Amino acid sequence: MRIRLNINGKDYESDVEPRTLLVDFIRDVAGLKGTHIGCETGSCGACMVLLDGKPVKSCLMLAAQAEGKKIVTVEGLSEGGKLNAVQKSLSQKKALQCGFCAAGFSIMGTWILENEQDTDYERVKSDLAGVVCRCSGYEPIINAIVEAAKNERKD
Amino acid sequence: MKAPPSFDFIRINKLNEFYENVDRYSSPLIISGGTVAVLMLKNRVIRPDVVIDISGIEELNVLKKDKEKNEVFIGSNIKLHELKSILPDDSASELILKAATTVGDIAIRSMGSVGGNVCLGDPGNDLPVALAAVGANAVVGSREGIRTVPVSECYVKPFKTVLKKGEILLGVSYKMLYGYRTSYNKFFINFLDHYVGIVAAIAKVEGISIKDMRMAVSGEAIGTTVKIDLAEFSKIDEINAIKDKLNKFVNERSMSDDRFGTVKFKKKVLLTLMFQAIDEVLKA
Repeated sequence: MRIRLNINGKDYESDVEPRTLLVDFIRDVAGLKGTHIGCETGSCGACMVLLDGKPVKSCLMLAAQAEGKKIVTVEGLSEGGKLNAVQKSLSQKKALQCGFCAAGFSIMGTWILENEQDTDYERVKSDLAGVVCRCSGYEPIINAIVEAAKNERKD
Repeated sequence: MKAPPSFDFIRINKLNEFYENVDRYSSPLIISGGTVAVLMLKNRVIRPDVVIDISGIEELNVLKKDKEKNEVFIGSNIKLHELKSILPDDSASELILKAATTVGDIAIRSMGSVGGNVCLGDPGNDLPVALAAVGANAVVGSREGIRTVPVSECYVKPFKTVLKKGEILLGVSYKMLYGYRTSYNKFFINFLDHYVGIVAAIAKVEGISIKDMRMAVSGEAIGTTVKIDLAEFSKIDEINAIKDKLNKFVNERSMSDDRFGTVKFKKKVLLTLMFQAIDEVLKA
């Protein structure tokens, strides 16, 4: 079937099988490899993208389901090579180690900054429940996102 | 990489289109959010000939509050994460929200729909227990018309509901309740993704009088969602009699398949959750 998806503001169109997963379309058709394939069961969050502004796990969604919606991947968070507040904070605080989970935390952190009124430690920790990191122990990641939220709101 | 089996895919935007199309296929899979369904496809637990995406049906993406009937209708396409901002502030809605917010994480709740959570028939699903406890009805549509079924009577066995081929869950409706206390507790084994027991309870207490008290249970220990009738109790000092009845209920349930020697454990979990719920809703 012919599918056209809008990813990071750009249209990608291709003939794919109906069973094609969104994560596979993003990686193999659009060539955006920042969205990772991790557990494949919706637990780890490495495949997280924003769909019409809401966080979704692209390994649990068919590409056909996303037609007509706006998708933002980790590559779409930065503008003109400039990292967004969450990415910058994760980098400055050296919050990530191997980086496999970077897409999930960057996407989720960006959603938190844009949608949560309350961005204290406990709230951020609870919101990040769907993203798994196997290196850092979470503390530096949570602190980086809390810091990013503080800085954003100061500005 | 886990790849689903091959199937056709159609997107439906109108209810009439659904009724016209659904009979054309022998084993259709209806999805709205598709979180669990896509996972089941990937694991090849199900092999439909067509996947019908109903997320575009706007008639199912509504929340209606009928003040005259004191009733709420939640369309089956409403996402679980949306409930937080659109449900009214009555006690029944509070219990439903307590259940909805325990589903997965924000991303899963942003994808998962009310209809999917109710229709799957997984004893580990959260909404059916809360909906059964508040006395909600499932509103089911088909080419022949609309019928309502109490949510507590929707489940035949794990992953088997009373919905027939050609039918679609339009949504769930329930009466708003005010001044009730609510309790929602569950016990699960995380690494097995195994929900042993889920208990939802709601009660209205005035002084020492119990004006109304309802409870529903689900989980792998029970196998399906069951409502427990507690209408005979009218005083909070009957708490021991209530607990006796719950004890009897758990002992009478068929948990005879004890291949793994876990029946005693399951019963203990269920009773602990039930007693905790009773204590929470009847506390002064």
